[in-house]
Amino acid sequence: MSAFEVIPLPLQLFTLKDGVVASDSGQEAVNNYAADFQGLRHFGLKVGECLDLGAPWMGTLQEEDFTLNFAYFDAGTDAKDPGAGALIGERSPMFELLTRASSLEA
Amino acid sequence: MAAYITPSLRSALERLKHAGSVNGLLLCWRRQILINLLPYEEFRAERLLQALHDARAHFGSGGDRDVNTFWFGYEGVFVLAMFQGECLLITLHTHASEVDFLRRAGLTFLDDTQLLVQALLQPSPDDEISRGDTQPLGNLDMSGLPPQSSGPTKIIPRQGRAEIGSIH
Repeated sequence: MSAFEVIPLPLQLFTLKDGVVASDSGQEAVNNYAADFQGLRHFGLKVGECLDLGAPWMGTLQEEDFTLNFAYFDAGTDAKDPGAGALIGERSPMFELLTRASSLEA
Repeated sequence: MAAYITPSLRSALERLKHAGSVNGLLLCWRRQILINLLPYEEFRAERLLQALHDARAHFGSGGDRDVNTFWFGYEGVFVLAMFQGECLLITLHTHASEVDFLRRAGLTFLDDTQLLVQALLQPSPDDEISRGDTQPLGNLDMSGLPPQSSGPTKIIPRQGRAEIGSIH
């Protein structure tokens, strides 16, 4: 491996409860995820508003080498509803990552 | 903008609409709508387009991020948005499990229709000239004769043909 090769982010899981993000991955990871989660949820609300669909129960964003999502459990959509999220440093199949985050409900 | 559409681009998008559980598509270039096949009014499609561009700009504002796909789930429907080059394709679908298939199909569509989109955005000047010079068939006074396009058409008079026939 060359000295400049960036190691892709491993799969990290987060829980959402009462509007608070928590994870075993450390405070920096939680802060970064929380910023993306808030932005993603905000624009999910905007998109829902445009089409009169209400608030999103899940959202995913994907870059060339990064995928992040969130999903509320039990059809919840409120900011304080329980849910989970995940991120990984690769272009992961979105449905697979959604299944992974949703499995945290169990 | 949406009124003048080449049939092949629209038909390609119509074919994509029959893939999986798709129930609406919106094809955009920059912040303009090219084809709206969403079950919504134009103004809602416009707002959707702007919201998704704003979302992309938000995440890219730091300069080092390029979000090319958004996927949101709502009560009974999902919204999948794919950016490629200057185009944006938005798909409404109902089955979550089809999202990765629809993303690949959408990106293939955007790849395959680059020339059609280009032709739509920049119609060839030759096409405009030839369209202007074309005379409608109904305006031609042919006087019972076939039209002479580039040069005189050689017509054998009936009398001549009769004489040729009488050689035998």
